[in-house]
Amino acid sequence: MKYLYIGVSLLAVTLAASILTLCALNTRADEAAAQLEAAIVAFDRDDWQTATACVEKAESLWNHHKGFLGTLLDHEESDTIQWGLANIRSFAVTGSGEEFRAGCTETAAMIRHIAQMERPYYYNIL
Amino acid sequence: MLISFLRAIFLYLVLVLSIRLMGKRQIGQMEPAEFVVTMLLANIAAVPMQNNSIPLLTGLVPILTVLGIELILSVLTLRSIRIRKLFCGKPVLLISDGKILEDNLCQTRVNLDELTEHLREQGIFDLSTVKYAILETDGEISTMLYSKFSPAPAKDASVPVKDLELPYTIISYGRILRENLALCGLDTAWVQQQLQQRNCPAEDVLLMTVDRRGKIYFAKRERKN
Repeated sequence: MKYLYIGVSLLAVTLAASILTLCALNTRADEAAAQLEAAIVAFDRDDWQTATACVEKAESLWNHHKGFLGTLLDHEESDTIQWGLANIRSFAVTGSGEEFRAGCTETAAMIRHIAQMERPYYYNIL
Repeated sequence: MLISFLRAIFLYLVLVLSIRLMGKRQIGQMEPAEFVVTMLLANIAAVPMQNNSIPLLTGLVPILTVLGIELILSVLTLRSIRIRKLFCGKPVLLISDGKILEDNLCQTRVNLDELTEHLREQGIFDLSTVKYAILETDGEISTMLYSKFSPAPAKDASVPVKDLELPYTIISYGRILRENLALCGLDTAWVQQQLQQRNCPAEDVLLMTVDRRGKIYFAKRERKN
């Protein structure tokens, strides 16, 4: 009976940890992607200052949770996003508008996609 | 490199602990479910061990999940005959009353060559001596010979024999095992006396065992200078 309890506990802990990390990943990804999408909206209004601030916020959010995200995501994916964010910031500094917008769109989509890949949808499971 | 080193140590320890938790059944002949689990665990651990870009958790979570399922199933198979049959199968008669059951051989996909090979491994070269042969769930074949071909036990042969006693290791690689001494009801003074009789210090003893009747096995170390 002891082994039954150990087995059930292991499964329960693993399941709980998987659900909690999924929720945490979704929250972090949503926060970062929302900032990038806000940057696009600000850019379309020609508000460079807000757009740049949003990108900086997105980057700081991503970097703040880098350790946690590194334990969940493929390191190559999280590195690609980090470089993407750094590129967008440099576009903001140089004033490359179209590249800034494209970078924001691409990186936001990538962040949302990564979070989506972890969700227990049938197409992810199969 | 250091990351690979640390990951390998971590995964090795997790795997060893997992196999240990599954019990000693893993070490001997394995049931189909146990075989699958052992193969799975080794493969799951290998991927994050080799590829540093994959988070360790992606290897750890499947290991813990498989371990949890295995522990639950092992208890359920212990308690339920139906579940045991489902996961472990059931023994199948291959020879019954001296007759080879061809249908059962086909059903279990054991051919005659394999059957005779297994019998030869058990020292049975004459098929006509076998009354029953059973394919066990772990893939082994158990046999029961006709009584006239079975070796007679001492009781049937009316030979007086004494029961064997379990020998306890008293000295191993020069070290006196006091725990085993206590189990035999002996003490270190007795050991010293035995060693003096053999003119050999404890450090020079490779193995010394004693059973409850006082029968001693003594092997000296052969040290190369």
